[in-house]
Amino acid sequence: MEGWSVINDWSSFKYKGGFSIERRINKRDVPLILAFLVPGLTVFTVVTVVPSGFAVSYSFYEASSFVGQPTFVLFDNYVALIQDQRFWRDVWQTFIYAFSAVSLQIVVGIIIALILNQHFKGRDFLRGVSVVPYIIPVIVVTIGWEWILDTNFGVVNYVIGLFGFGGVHFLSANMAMFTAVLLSVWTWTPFVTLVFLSGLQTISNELYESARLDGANSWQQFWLITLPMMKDILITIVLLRGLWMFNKFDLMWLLTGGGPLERTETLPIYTYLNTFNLNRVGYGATVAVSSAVIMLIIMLIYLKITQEAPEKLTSKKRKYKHNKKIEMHNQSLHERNERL
Amino acid sequence: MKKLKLSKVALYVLAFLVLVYSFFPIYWIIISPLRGNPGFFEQSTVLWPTNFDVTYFINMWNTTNFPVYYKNSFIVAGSTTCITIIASTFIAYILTRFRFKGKNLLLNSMLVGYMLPPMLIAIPLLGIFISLGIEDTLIGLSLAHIAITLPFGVWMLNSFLKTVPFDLEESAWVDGASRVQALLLVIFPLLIPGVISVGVFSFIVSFTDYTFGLMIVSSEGNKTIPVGLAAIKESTSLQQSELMAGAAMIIVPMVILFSFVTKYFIKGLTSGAVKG
Repeated sequence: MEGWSVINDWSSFKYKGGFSIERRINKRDVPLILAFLVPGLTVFTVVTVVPSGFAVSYSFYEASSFVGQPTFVLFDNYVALIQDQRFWRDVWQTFIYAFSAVSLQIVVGIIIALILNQHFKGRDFLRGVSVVPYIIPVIVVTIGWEWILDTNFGVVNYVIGLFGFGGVHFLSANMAMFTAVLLSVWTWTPFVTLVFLSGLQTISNELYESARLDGANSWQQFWLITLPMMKDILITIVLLRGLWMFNKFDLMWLLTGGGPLERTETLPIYTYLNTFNLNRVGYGATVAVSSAVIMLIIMLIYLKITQEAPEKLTSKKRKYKHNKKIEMHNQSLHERNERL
Repeated sequence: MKKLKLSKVALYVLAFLVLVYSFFPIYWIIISPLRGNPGFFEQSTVLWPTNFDVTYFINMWNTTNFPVYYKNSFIVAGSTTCITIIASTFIAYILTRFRFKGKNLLLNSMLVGYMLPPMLIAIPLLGIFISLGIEDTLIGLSLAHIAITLPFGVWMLNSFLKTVPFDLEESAWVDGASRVQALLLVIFPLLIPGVISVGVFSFIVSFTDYTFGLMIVSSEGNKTIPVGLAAIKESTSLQQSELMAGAAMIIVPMVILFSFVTKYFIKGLTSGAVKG
């Protein structure tokens, strides 16, 4: 389970002037500040900052376990990594997994959010129910879905069997990745749904009404109003979900363990296998650090693209506004002509 | 008019599909092990079983360490939640009430820390815990979870505390309250919705975590539910039916508890994104 939206209000930090509740530090406040900050920050340092530093330093060592004496090898691990075909294949597989899972989560999440944004009886109840897949532990998801997708006794195979397609082996070498994506979509879509839904509620109704007056149908309203208005939220959702999917360990590990034939082996799994099963702690750290770097690069590219691309969306919107203005103008001319 | 009616029907059909999509798998996990033997296999695709049998649940509860896992999970999740609430309230309070250098650095490093891959942190963390002598303990696991929950708590309460007017606090001081008293008696009550959101989030993160648990905890007596259930599954000592009973025994209390705090969870999850 993971998840919260990070984009709290960045803007507020740039907030200058006006009313502020911050005070300059008095000498007598120092003990209180230390007492409040030190314990929490110590824990945070020990469990986050120090480990990330250690991970980098581990990657320069060769060690077979956590207790033995490690040997310093400088860049040997990284040289080995570059030549490691298994690593590069896993980079590709991780990318495929993350990309398909995130795209589907976005599509399904938006569709459900649009439905949950309508008015109908039991809407609040359904909103609550739709979150449940997000809060249950991954091990429950895998155990449950393995049974639901079971080749002989599974209800899914029973249903598609009615149409003549039964007997699918969902965890076979060819299907395992698909199944992992399917499960990831089911469990983590509610994040997209909820964040998108809360964004939808901020779009004013007037926009839609005026569009309707102009004769825009629901489909056009969605593309010309909803999506452009949700642009920023959407960019953030994709970023967060992408990060989390790229780093996902538990679902794949519990569902397939990286198999069959290593077809579903992703970078976190390769890290784990190196560290605990192949007794290469140093190399495991190298894989972990390198995947973090790769993730960072993808993230930067993504941010670069999204900072440029939105122009397309907004220009569409602008065109729409522009057209509308012309239309209104024509209409008023028309009315005037009629009056004359 | 007729067209309107049709879209209303379509809306309910869609809503029903969302319901099925979200809830059917959960229903299935709960109902399947209740079919008992031999219904579990023979009636595996019947929507509503003809007779109910709790044998699998009893097997699961009695032949494995499930009760121990349960207890451990509650201890870990409970302490993670308490520590997160206290520590993040304190940190957020200082961050919003005093002006000092490095504040943004602190907030942003928390954010970055939160985004780091769990694998990157978990492996060295095990090394650190070994040298501290707290590997394979519930305290260690709880501390690891705080790596995820504390940044969330600080950010959430930071934005909450900014909205609490300073006058309130000041008037409490005038009445002779100390800073700590004012925080606990005047400000904290106003923070309750935010605190509940942080609490619910922390509890769920900690309760459902598998990755950190797998690395840090190894002895049978210290396993949490996700780690324990996964180990049972791996050992293949029990049938799918018993595993499903175990899964159901996790889901049912979670869903019931969650139904009381859904509002706060949703709020916590979404409060940031909308402002952005």
